[in-house]
Amino acid sequence: MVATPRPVPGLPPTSAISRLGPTQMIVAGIVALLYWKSLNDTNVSFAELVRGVPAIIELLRQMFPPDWKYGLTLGKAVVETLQIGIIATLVAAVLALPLAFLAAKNVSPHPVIYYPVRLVLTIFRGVSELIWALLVVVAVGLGPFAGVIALVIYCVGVIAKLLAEAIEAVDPGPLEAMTAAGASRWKVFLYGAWPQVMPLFLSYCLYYWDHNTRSAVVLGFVGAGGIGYTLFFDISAYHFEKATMAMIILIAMIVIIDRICLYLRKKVI
Amino acid sequence: MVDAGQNMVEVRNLTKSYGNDRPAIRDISLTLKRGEFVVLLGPSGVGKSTLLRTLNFLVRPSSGSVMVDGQDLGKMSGKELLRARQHIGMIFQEFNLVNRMSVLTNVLCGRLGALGFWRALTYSFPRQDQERAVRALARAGLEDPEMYMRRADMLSGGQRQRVGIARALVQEPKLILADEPIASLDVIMREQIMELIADIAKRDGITVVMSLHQLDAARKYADRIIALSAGVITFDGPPADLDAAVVERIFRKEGDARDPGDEGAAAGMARANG
Amino acid sequence: MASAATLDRTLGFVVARRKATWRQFLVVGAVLVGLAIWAARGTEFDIPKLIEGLPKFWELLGRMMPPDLSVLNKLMKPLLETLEMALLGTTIPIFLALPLAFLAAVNVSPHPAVSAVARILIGGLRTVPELVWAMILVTAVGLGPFPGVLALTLHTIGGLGKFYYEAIEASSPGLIEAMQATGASRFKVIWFGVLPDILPVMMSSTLFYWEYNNRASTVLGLVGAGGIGLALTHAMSDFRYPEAVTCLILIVLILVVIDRISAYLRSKII
Repeated sequence: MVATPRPVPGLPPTSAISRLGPTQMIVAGIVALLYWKSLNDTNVSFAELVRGVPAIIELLRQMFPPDWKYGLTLGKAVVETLQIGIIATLVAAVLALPLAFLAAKNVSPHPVIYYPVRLVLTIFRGVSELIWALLVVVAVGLGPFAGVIALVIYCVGVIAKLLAEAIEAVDPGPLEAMTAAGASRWKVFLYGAWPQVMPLFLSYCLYYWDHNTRSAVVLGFVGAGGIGYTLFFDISAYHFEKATMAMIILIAMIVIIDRICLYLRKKVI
Repeated sequence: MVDAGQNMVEVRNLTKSYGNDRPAIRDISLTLKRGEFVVLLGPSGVGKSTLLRTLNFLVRPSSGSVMVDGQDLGKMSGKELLRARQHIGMIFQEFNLVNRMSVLTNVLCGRLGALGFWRALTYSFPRQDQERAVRALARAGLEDPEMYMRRADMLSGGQRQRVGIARALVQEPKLILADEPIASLDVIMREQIMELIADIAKRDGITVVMSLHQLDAARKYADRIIALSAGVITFDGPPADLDAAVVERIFRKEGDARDPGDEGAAAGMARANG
Repeated sequence: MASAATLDRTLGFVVARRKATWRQFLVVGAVLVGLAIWAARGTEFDIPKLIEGLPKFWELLGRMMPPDLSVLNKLMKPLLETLEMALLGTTIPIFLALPLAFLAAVNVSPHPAVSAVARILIGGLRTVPELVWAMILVTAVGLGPFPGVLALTLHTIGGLGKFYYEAIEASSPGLIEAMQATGASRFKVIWFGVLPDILPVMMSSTLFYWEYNNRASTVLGLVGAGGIGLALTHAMSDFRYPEAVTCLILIVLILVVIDRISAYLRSKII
């Protein structure tokens, strides 16, 4: 491969394009081709956009002004969504701890446990929350409980993996010191590794509380209740001014949660 | 304070290899008496750390036996090994404290081995242990109680090593292993810490085995120097017997720059001689 | 050596501290437990129901197995569509999120009012789930992948915008000052000063959103916005479960592959 020419000091910088070597040009070409194909396949083009503009403008007209009175009736739905977010995060946090312990190479009791647990976590994470919800609904029926379970499954997959990685990245020095002082494995973990991992754990919990509340809205689309469900209903019925109101409330809810998370982060971490 | 009758540590035919590489320590046999201050001397990579860690079985030997205070570590069950370790203190080059925890809790971790299940789970050490911890901290030169509740990472390097020493002391050990305890400290702190450890060894009658590459410190404080090179012992005797020829032999393989004031002169001589 | 009096005083101090910490811990614990109970009641949390439901789930799995591999051919196009939607939905927003982020970042924005508005816009775009955007856009422009791309784009402008303006705000003020001191125009300060600084974060967050969008685009089909999600929904509503599970397996596989590619790119670029 030809070495990319370097800018010579003192002279004006060579243009970015002239600095590309042949391999890079080929890669760029492939990417451009991919792009062109994508645009074609998905019908994304300026023409389509232009054709769609009147419809979008009409849509905007129907969305604004929002139906402010409707907002007052949404209280129950909002509370339900918040509850889904909270309970899902709490349960997932509690379940993720032991799983992370088993999924961390340096503290897991045995590879026979480590590999299957990691695999299970990957499956939990790999399937989107919505799809889990579809599956869970078969077992427990429609309603917020299905949403909670689906969120817990996905969330445990993510948090346990992140936590396991944090445990694996822990500074081994203090662990060695406590082993040398005659502490058993779990004590070494609790006093040596856990203090290092805990701030990260709390950080993930706060982040996923935010994420789970948003996801709870999305799950409402498949019947898991809350403000997502009313939103779905309103859009299906073309009541766009109501939908806009719901979206505004949704945004306000998330902003408040964000503020709380920021505050808690400062206090605890 | 050397009790000629009892041996603290007996090592027989100890070998440790990692995989197919040359063994880190090869067929080493040693007897260390109670109360001795022994320094394992040599540049890095000769097997000092490995040998040190076989004395509390942090490293399991490939062959050979290690007896500490009359007990064969190799023949112990898991629980027995834990109990044996509770009487062996260890000090580390990088201090190995838990940064987020308070100084006091770090020291209390020395008593973690014997702590009951529920107490350990709820981080509640008994009053007796807390007293031991405060006394250990004072013995290690940290007498300001205000400092005890501070996070460990808010202390200076020298102070942190004192906490490490207190953690070893709180175990009320008969043997203390020290792995390059002064390598991460500045020159002034080095003296203070060496003085402290030597004082502990002498006044409290604790056997100390320390790995060092600083020749001056070894000469000044050790009762007995054991030099290692490529996993075998090349010298074993009092510091007085350590003359220039021996020193050159010990540090001969060393090519990189060293801190001034340790065996720099010797290394320079070795280099000059090719 | 510490005198008995100092020892007592120190220990008294330590014990008092510990009691205070314990009290805090208990209060927080009580709050969390209270929240959990409240939330569990509100969401009809019911473990026995879950256990009862497991056999139904098992039965569903039974009907889903073995996966129907004959539909693999017909699923290739939707699968490709999903990936393309994600690609476009991640790359197009870059060009829109970047100027928006510059308007939103307090240290380079022309005016605090402008930055406030930009931040609200970014926040709004990012909070509304892409599924909602997709559903709304489907009613406007019709079914298919086009509204899907638009939905992802809108959401990602918000997501990338936030990462970008946080990075801009974190770049060293000295750099900006120095460039302004040389009399460089605002644009030049941005192009040559700030942009190279935030490039690593830009690449990292773009990769993050590429992963995220791949996951999101599998789901957009639910509301008719194209991709393999649509195939999955059709299969499930027609009770063709073995076909549905093939879709699911494809989804999981493709996401694992995307994860790997992303990790590889991350290690090479960052």
